[in-house]
Parts: sequence; structure tokens; C-alpha cells
Amino acid sequence: MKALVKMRPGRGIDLRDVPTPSASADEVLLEVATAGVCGSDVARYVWTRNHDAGGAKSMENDLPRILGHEYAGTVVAVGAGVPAETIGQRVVVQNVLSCGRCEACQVGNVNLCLDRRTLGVHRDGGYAEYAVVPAANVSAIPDSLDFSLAAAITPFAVSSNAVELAKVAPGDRVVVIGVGPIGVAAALAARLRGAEVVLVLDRNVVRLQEAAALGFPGLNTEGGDVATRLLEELGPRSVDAVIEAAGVADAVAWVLPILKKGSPIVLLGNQREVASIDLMPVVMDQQRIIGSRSYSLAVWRRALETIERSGMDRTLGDEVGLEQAIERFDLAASGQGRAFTVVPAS
Amino acid sequence: MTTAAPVLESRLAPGLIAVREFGPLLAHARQPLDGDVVVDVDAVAICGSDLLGYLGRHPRIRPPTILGHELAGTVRWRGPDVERVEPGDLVAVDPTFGCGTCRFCTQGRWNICEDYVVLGETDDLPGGMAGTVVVPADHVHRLPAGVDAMAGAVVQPIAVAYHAVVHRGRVEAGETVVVIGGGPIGLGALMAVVHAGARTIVVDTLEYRLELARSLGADLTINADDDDVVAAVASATDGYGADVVFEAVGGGQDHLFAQGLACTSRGGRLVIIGLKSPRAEFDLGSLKWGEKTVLGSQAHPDSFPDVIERIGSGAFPADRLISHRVPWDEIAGAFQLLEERADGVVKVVLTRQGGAA
Repeated sequence: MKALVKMRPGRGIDLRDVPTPSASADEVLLEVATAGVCGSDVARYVWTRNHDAGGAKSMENDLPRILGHEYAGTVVAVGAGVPAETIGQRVVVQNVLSCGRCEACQVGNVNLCLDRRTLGVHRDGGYAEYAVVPAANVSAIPDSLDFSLAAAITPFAVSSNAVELAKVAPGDRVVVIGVGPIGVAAALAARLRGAEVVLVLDRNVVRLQEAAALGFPGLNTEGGDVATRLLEELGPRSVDAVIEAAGVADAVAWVLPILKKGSPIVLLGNQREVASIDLMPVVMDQQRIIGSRSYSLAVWRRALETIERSGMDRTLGDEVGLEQAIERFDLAASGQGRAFTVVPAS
Repeated sequence: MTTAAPVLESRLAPGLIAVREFGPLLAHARQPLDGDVVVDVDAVAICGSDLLGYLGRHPRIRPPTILGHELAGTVRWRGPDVERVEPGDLVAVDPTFGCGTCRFCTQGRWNICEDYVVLGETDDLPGGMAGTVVVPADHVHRLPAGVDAMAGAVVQPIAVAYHAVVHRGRVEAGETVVVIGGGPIGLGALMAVVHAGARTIVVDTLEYRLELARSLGADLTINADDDDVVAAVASATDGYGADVVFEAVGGGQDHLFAQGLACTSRGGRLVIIGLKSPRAEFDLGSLKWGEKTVLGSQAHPDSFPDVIERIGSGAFPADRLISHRVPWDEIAGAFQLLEERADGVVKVVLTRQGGAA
């Protein structure tokens, strides 16, 4: 079968012909319909080493590896122990492989498992015509749900995890920093919960335009002096929650003056570098700075339930085949190019 | 600029003088203080508990009384200490009061103050039908442009539902919610649940109310006269039951608690908004073994501003709940309409500016 394989450390990804895998006990074989692309996939393409974004450090010994960690498809074969009725089911893949035994796993916090691995990072993933997935990691999807939207459940769940950690409630005024795919998903997840996303920030004009098309007013951080401009635009102590999805630590300093006291800033984006910010306002105003990593199983379930109403269908981008994807990765790595998803069959 | 406080004289108002009987009652108005607002009432909506009071079946609302705890009107005067409204402003009035000093009031939970009182329940605190009310300024809330007095009069019942959904039930997007009772409270809860991004099932016996629920965004409706409610909810939730159930029927039927609990999934929660029956028989085992949670929800200490904002934005289409607009002096007919559940009645609003259905 054809697959996009990370062959070696360093920039790049190869289109290869590899043996079609088969499902072992408690596994299923999927015909992959769609596989999404996230910033971390681009980081793995580039082999970014900063703060292990994309898992480059932990992956080095696992190469070659078929990438792709947001995917959906049809079950075409099952291994021992999996009911035969599963064959033919349309499913989405929940990509977190957890040990099932640690304290976190016991309460469904698979994102916090001490031995957490990910399909498409530590095991072969979805940029391929076929993929083997543990049966426990596939969830059936309704016929009304397109595969392309199903593949977006993963980024939507990751972003929903952050929005839930912020305890965003109906009527809350929310600011989202960074409107790449994850930031946009966070804004949509906040809106779904009845919150008003009063402003989104980015330095990329195209991303701000796309966010504006979804109804999210933007502020371009490229002009500098962001803290002052935020105060002018929104007023002091006027925002209930901030979701930081760009990985820029300075953003915490930008938003503290506009944040109501006793309120959350959720750090969702992988931090680009080590930060130096004044934390005294966090103490004085009893603010909460909260990290968010992947999603718990409960959040995954709610993302699956809400994806069709989420608005994510308007964010999906072009569908490209495996071969064309390589060039699109290259463009994405230099900050250009529009969003895209991979359809192995095309 | 403030004028001197108006001297308010007692005057006759349409009062509930006996069970099922309206007649003139003297409404006493307290004299306004510097922190008060005087509101000339333009619209009063009638609540299911008013109906029970009319029928002689409510624990607190009893004749003789001047009803009207869902009210909106025009500010006639505001005291010198008041900044939030001006004469001429159209406002919704929060009719609920606590003592202000107890441990509950000082936590913002005056709805559970032991000395909690509501305008329009007993005759020492006349309600909106008195025509003019005097309240502390923090109990009036300006209505945004585009929201009229009649919509303002339904802020209060929607706030009851909103408090239950957002602060007590804490509905999460992606959960499945059942609202039992498709009257104004249930429909208000539906609006809040839809806004929170959850999936909703509404239960009622009146087909026209179920149709209204569907048009307001209910994903599924169940007619309790035609179907086994618990079985239908199980069937719609892969056998699990709902994450959150709101009991919003409010009548005295004692099977409602057991039904609500049975519709609640393991690990889920049942919020009692409406139930009036003082006793219930239910399966305590299912509560314990399934770790279900039962929450009481009482009024709305925190919800008026949010509800008003959503009515103004269109997120909560309050007008859709108003089935009848009735002239002020036709109050007796309005109660008959409610008692008979006639003519597609949902919420009846009495208005002093003419009326139309």
C-alpha cells in the first residue's frame, strides 16, 4: 500500500510503497478515508526540536514511521477477539494509546497517562491507504457524519479540552490567541458552549481573515504593543477566559489586564521557547494559569457528540492525495499554504 | 437631576380576593428611599404558581393577595443614590428578596435565605398587578432596545430556568439533557440548554407545546400520554439515560420525581425546578448504586442580566413563549384560560397597553 513515511531524522516525508499491515488480536484494519493535518504533523515534517514539539525527540528511535494522527475510515478486517460485526463500520480513531493502569488512566485521563503514546507518532498512523488500530481506539460514527469532519474530531477534542478546563460557560467573553487550526477549533468550542469570542489574535493576515469569515473579530499582533491595544479594544477586566493557542508565553502578560479577577488562561499551544513573565498579577488577582494536553476520554466523547454542530465543517481545507500532500507539507512548514487534509485513495 | 420622591398612596388594584375570585384590593405602596426605584408596571406575566394560588393550592400564594411576580415597566423615579437607571427606562423587575445579611445572602444566594420573600405572593408585598412597585435599585434591570415590556415580563421565568440549567445543572456541550415539562419554565430551560451546546429531549403531554419545543431546537420530543417516558429516554440514549434531567412540570403529581430519577443516567444529575409534591416514592437504590445526584433549584439570584442580554441578542426568543397578550382588567379570563389549558396557551401576559393574542 502507499503511505507517507517519516524515514529518518531531519526535514521531509517520503511516499513509499509498504506492505499492507494486518490486524492482530484486539485490533482492526481500517481503510483510511481521511487524515487531517495539525501543526504537530508539520513540526514532525520539519523535525522541529524546540521543546519537543511534535514529539521529535521521543520519535527518533521509532523511525521509519507512517505519520498522521487524526484519521477516520472504514473497518475492513478484524483481529481475534473483535466481533465480526465491526467489519464495515465507519469509524473515527481516538489516537491516544494509554497504559490503562496508572492513576490517570483509571479515571479516563488518557492524556495524562504516564506512558502515553500516540498513533501516528509512536505507532504507524493514518497517512496511508490502510491502518491498523487497536479496537478500543475506534469509535463508530453516524452515517450523517462525513469522514472529513470525523477526522476533525481529534483537533476539536484537543481544543475542547482547553475550553472545558477554562470552565467556559454560556455568556462568557473569551479571547483566543492564535487562530491556526487548534485556535479556530477552540473558538468554535467556546461558541458552541454559548460563550462569545470577543477577539482573536494572530500575526498571520490570512488566518485572521479566515477567522473573521467565521465571525471572530481579529487583532493583528504584528503591530506590537499588544497589551495596550487589547486594553483599548476590550477595556480592563472585561474578559472571562483566555485560550492561548499560539504557544507564545508573552501572551500571558498581554491579557492579564483585560482578564477579570479569578479567571483562567489556558495554555493550549506548545510553547515555542522558555518564557520570562511577571507572575505577580497572577497572585494579586487570583488568576489561574492552566496547561492543557490532548483530551480526556470524557472530553473525547463530548467532542464526538458535538462535532456535527461545532462549525468545524467550515474549517476543513482542501483534500489532497498522498503524493500532493508532500508539497503541501513543505508550504505549511514555511508558514504558507492553506489548510489541507489527506485522502489516501485519491 | 432627581426630583423629590413621589408620595405613593394606597390604591385599588385587581386582587385575588378569594379562591378563583378577583376583585378590587387595596395595594399599599411603601415610600421610596434614596436607593429605590419606582416602577410603573406595564406588563405582568402569569406563572403556574399564580394559578395554583388562584386555585387555593399553593403553600405561600394565598388570597387575599395582589399577584404579579413576573413584571416589567417604566421607571417613574429613581433615588439620588441610584445610577443604574433613569426615569423613562424600560426595566424588568426582580421580585425576589433575601434579608441581605445572613450567610446565604452574603454569598450571593439570597434565593435560599430563610427569610426569602417574593413580590406578589402575600398581601404585605403586593406584586405587579398593584400597578406601581417600589424596589431597591439593584432589583431593576434595564431592557435593551428592541425588547418590549411583555418580553421583559418573561425574563423572570426564563431566569428561573436559566439558573437551573447553568448554575445548578451546569450543562456541558455534548451532554444529553431531558427537560420534563414543556411549559414556560421547561421551554426556558430548553433555550438555555440549546445555547449551552447540549442535546435536548423535551417531554410533555400537550402536542402543541412539543411542537413549540421542536421549533425552539429540541432534538427530540416525547409525549408522556402516548409513550413510556423512561423507556423512550433510554431508547434515545443507548440505554444509558440522560446526563442531566430537569423536572419542570411543577404540579403535584408524585410520580414525577421517580420518573425523573429513572431517566437520569448513572453518574448523572436530576435538577428539581418545579416539583410541588412534598413527598415522593422513588428507587433510592438507583440513586445510590448509580451515584446519581439530585439538586434543588430555586429562583435566580444571579441570572437576570444574562437572560436579558440573551433576549436582546435573540439567542433566547422570549416572544415565542408568549401565547396570549391580555388587557390588564381581563385577569379573570386569563386565569381561566390557564386553568383550562385552552387555546394553545403557554405564557399569558397582562398588559396595560391594550392586548392581543
